[in-house]
Amino acid sequence: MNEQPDAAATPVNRGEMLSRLMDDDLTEFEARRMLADLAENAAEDLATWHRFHAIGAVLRGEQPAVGALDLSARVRDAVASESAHEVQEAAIAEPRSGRSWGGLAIAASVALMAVFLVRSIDSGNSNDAATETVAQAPAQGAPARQPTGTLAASQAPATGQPVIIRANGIENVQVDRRPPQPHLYLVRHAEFSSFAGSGGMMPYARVASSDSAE
Amino acid sequence: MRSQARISPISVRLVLALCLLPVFAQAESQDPLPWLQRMMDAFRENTYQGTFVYAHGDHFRTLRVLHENGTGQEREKLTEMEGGMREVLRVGDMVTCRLPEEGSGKSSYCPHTGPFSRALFQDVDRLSGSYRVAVTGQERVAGRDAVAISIEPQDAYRYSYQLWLDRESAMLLRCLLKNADGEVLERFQFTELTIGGTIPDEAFELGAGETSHHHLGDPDALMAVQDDGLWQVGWMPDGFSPVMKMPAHAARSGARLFTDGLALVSVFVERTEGPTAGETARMGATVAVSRVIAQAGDRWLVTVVGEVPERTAQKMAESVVLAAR
Repeated sequence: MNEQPDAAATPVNRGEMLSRLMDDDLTEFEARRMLADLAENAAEDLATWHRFHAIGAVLRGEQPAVGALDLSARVRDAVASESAHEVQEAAIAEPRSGRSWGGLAIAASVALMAVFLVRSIDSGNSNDAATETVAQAPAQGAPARQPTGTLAASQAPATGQPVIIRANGIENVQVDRRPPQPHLYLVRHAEFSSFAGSGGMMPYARVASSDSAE
Repeated sequence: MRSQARISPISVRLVLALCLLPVFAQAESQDPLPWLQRMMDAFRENTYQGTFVYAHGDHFRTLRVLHENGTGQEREKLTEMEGGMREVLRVGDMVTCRLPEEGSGKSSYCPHTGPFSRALFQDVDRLSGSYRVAVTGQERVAGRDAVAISIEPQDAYRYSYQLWLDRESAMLLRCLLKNADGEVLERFQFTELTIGGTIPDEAFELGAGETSHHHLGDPDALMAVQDDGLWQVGWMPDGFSPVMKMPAHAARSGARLFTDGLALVSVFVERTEGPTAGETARMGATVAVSRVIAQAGDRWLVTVVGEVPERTAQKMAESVVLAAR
């Protein structure tokens, strides 16, 4: 007996499943489970998903929309709509060749989600690049669960600089991680700056960022 | 019957006012300094909540900020959005930090948060001495009308900034910090921002975990800290002046913070038994240049750190002179 894979079992495969969902690469069973799971956890997952897409847009110099996002209700509506199709399909109870109506409904739900995501980033500022990003990003892996602040190469801005440590007088020696001492001073500078009330968000962000740079 | 159109004086005034409105609006938007002052006021006075991205190179952080000033006392909370969940809460001058979870790989350092307005842009007129500040136009940023302001250095010792302020609230929506080649070294941008409304008290509660407490320093009081006279910075770019001193400790000859009204540079001088040669480290726009000075059998590590070009930090480090002992 073929056991159906658990479409939304663990956070580890969740990003991959989302990616495959967007690519229409899931079986109907998997897609249904994933959509149902998304409806359950939409607020968290889609907000996170949106956040990472927005970050990607910022880092590429694009302009995500500034505004709160609540996708959960819309996705629930989409799934509810799909359930209605499902009832009709059960009444027909006749196998179809190719894509079923249920499958089309799932595709419609996925498309709806994609449109919402595109609009959420693109609203008020038409930007083809941003739209393309939303459509493509899920295929690159699992952005919604990216655990650290280090970007994948595809997301890194062209202007990115490596952390460079150079012994004075020795040119361009690049190392993988900074020794603790300069790092300590970078952090102390941020603390010092904020101690004087000079920065607020920026010194904090710099220190937070230094963690990921280690 | 022929109707006679009569133009009342009120109508004339109305038409004139409507015609002149864009002119006045344009005039208002062309002076950048009031915009910067409004920005600082907006950060301090508004109630807002949002998520912003801070990025440099291929590293980024997303942070959530909550801020209110409803009762005359500011409350501000910053939360990291990825892993570890370090949180900082400031109520007035009192800062409480929930430290990162053990094993998260994050440092236990916890910068005190503070409003931008305390020192940064404290005297916006002062910027004109070191920077060319101009309103460069009005753009749509993140779906909102924004005023673009460019801050270009008048010499090679500092970086340039581009700011986009929300036209309605003057909140900073986006900021780019660039080097002389136009390369973006730091990027700050709100990806979500709500201005106004109320923020429930629960939102300002910190999560469970180890916390530390600090009290923000009073820069005026710290400036009054008696100079230990052990060292001095012989050179700094025009426009820079000290804003804070940290008192000396046993093996530490204190630290000083300098600013030109925008860029910040810290200078630390400490006795060391470690490095024998200086180093240079860079993280985004922040550079750290160190230099070792040997004196009477001791080694002293001079470290200059700030959001300035490496050349500036290098020159400042080289100019530090220790007093004879």
